[in-house]
Amino acid sequence: MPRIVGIDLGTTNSLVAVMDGGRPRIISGPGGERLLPSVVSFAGGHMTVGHEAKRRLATHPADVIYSVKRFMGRGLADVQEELKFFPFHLIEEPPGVVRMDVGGRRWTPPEISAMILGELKRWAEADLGEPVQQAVITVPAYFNDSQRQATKDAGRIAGLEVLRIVNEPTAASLAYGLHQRKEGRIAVYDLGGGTFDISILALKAGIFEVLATNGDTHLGGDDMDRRLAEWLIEQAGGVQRFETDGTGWSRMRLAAETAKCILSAEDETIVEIALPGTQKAEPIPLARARLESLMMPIVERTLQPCRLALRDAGVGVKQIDEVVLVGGMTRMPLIRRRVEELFGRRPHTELNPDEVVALGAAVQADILAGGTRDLLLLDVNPLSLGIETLGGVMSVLIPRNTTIPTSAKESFTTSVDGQRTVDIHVLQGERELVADNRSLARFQLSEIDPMPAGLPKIEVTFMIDANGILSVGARELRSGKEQSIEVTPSHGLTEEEVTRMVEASYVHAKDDIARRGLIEARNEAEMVLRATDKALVAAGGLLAEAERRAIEAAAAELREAVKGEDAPRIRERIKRLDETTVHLAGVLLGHTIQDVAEQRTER
Amino acid sequence: METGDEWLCPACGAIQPLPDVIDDFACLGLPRHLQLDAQALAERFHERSRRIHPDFFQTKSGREQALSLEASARLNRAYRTLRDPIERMGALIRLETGQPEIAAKAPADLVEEIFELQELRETVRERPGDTGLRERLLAERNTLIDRLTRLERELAQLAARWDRAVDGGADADKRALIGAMRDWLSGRQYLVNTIDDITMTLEGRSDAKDRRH
Repeated sequence: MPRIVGIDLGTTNSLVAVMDGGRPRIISGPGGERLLPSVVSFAGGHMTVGHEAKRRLATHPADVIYSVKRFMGRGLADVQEELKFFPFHLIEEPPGVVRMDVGGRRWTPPEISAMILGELKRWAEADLGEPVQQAVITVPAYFNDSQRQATKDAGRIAGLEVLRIVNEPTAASLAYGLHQRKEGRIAVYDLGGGTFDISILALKAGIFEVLATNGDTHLGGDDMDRRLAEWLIEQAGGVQRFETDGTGWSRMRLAAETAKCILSAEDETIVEIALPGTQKAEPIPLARARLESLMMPIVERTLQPCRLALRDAGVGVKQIDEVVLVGGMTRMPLIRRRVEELFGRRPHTELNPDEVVALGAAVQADILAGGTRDLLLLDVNPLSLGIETLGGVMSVLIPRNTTIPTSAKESFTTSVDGQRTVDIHVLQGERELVADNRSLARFQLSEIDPMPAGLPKIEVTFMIDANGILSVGARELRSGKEQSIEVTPSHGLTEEEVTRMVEASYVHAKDDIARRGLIEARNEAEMVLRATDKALVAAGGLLAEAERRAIEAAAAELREAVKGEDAPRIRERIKRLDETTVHLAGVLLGHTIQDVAEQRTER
Repeated sequence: METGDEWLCPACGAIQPLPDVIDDFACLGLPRHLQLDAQALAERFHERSRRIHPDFFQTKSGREQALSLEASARLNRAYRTLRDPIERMGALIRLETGQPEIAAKAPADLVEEIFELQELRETVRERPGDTGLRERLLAERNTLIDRLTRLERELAQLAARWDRAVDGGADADKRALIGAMRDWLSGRQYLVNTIDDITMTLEGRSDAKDRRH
C-alpha cells in the first residue's frame, strides 16, 4: 500500500514525516538535514528550494521568496502592514489574491508553497523508494477557510492529494499524547515563525478532543526578527547610513534571526554588521535582557488568546494538567517563563518543538490509511461562520469552537415576484458587523422557478468538514430538487485556476525530468570521453590505425551530441563509442596483465 | 436494537444513510431525559465517534465517506446541544411539541417592566453625563442578575420532575411540565437579553439588531 506522508508546511521551515513500525519518523533530505527552509529562490534564472535558496537571501533578496505562508489565502489589504518588510514585489490580481513578481513571473502563494511541498515529496520518495501521492498537511489552528483552501491547492499543484488538513497544535498533541500515553487536559502553546496558536484539549482513551482554540495568524518569530532588525539598524546609525544597496535590510534580518537563536542559550552576543561602502564591520553588543525587553510586547500578545481559549473551553488554569510547547520560538527563555507564569506550571519540552507537528501529521496519516483505530482527533472550527443579514449584520450559523465536521441549515426565500436568484454572503469572524469580519465567499442560488415572492423555500446546508473547510449545498423544499449554486471565493483561487496550475505543474515536472535526464547524460558522456582519451594514450602503438580512427570518430560524434539538448541522442552515441572501444579495453586489459607478468619475470 | 445503532449495518458494519428525522437524543442512543451525567454523555459521544468518524472511512467508497461526514456532523451537533442543560431543554420542547421553545411574545407579567426599563435606557442614552441615572440603571441590572441566579436554580428541579414523569408514563404531567419549562426558558431568555441590553447601554454601544434571532 502506498504510504501517506505527514507534512508540516511551516513559515520558516518545513518537514516531512512518515509512520514506520508504529512510530512516526522524520524523513531527512539528501544531505541528512531534517528541516527544509521554506525559501524559494529564482536567482540566476533557476528555481532552488531550501538551504541553497536561503543563502541567496543575503545576496539576491529581490529574487527570493520567504515566509510565503503569511500570504496564503490572503488579499493585499490583509498584508499591507508588513509589505515594507518584504523585498519582493507584490501585486493583487484578481482582487483577493496576492501575487509575487519574482523571477520574471507572477506567482501565487500556493504555487510557491507547492515548490516547497515538491521538494519534501522528493525527499520522501528518495527515502521510501516509492512514489508519494498522498499527504496530510498541517496548518495553524487559527487559519480561516481561505488559508486552508490555499494550502490544499498548494498540495494539488505539487501533485499531492491532500487527504486531510490538520491543525498544528492538534497534530502536536497527537505526537505528544502518543509519546507520553497521558490522559487529562492539556494546553498546547504553539509559536512558530509566523503564526501563534493556543489549543486546549482533553485526552482520554485515545480520543483527542479539542475543547477550544484561539490564536493570531500574524504573530511569530518573523515579527521578533523584524523588531530586533529595526533596533540593530538604529544602533548601526539609522536607515540613511545603513540602507544603500537594497540587501541591507535582508542581511540585517538574517543577523537578527541568528542573534535571537544564540541568545536562547547565551547571555550575550555581538552582532557584526558590515556597513555599506566600507570594509569595516561594526560590532553591536546585544544582551539577552535587551532582547527580552524588545520582545516583551510581542510575547504579551500571545497571552490574551490563551485566556480566551481557556474561557471558551470552560476550563480554569488550575484544571490544566500539562502545558506543551511547540514551534521553534518556544526555545526562547522569555517565552518559557511567561507561559509558566500564566499556567502556573512548568511546560513540557522533551519533544523537539520543531519536529513534533510533522510527527503528529504522520500519525494522522496513519489513522487515515487505516493503520490504527485506537486514536481519534476531534477538532473544532476556530472562527464563527455566519451569513450577512439586513443592515450589514452577521448572523452566526456555526459558533466558533464547534466540533467538526458540523453543519447548519438555513432557509431562504425570494422578496420579489418572479425572482430567479438569491445571493448569500458567507463570513467568518467574531464581530457583529459584516465589515469587521472576513468575507469567505458569495453564493448565488440561481435558476429558481419563477414564483410569487416568499413562496420558494430553499434550504441551504453549510457543511464544515474535518479539514475545517466549508462546502454549501441547497435544495428547493417544495420540489425537493437540488438547487444550483455558483460560488465566488472572496480570497484565493477558483477551481479552474487551480486545475490550470496543476496542469502547468505537470508540464514543468516533465521539463524538470527532461532537464535532469539531459544533465545526467552529459555527465556520463564527459566521463566516457575522458576515459577514452586516457585509454588511447595508454594503448599507444598497441592499436591498429583504423581502429584508432574509428574510436576517434565515435568520440567526436559524442562530443558533438553533448553540445545539443537531445538526451537520447547523447545516450545513443555513448553506446556507440562503448561498442567501438570494446576491443581497445580488451587490449589494455591484456596489456596490463602482460605488464604485470613482465614485471614479475624481471624480478 | 438500541436507538442510534441504525448508523451502521449490523451485519457488515458499513455505514448507513441517516434516517430522515433523527433527534438529538436518538443520535446518542439516549431516552428523552433531562438529567444527564456529563461524563457518561462524553463517553457515549466518544464511543459513537469511533464508529462513524470520517477518519475511519478514508479508504472506503465515496458514498460511505459522504455518509460518515453527514453522520459525524449530525452526531457532533447532537452532542453540542445535549451537553448544555439549557440547550438540552430547548431541544426537548421542540421535539415534543414541534414548536419553538421560547414564546414569541414577552411573558405577560413582565410587559410593564420591559416598557419601563426601555424608557430608562432611552433616557440614559440621551443624557450620558447623568451619573444618577446611570446608578439607577446599574441597580436595575443587579436586581435582574439576582433574579436570573434564583431562576437558574429551578432548572435541576424541573429536569428531575420531567424525568420522573417520563419514567412513570404520566402524559398529563408531561404536558404541564412542557408548559412550565417553556415559561422558564422564556423568562430566562428575557432576563439574559435585558441584562445584555443594559450592559450595552452602559457601555455606550448600540443594540445588536439580530441577537434574538
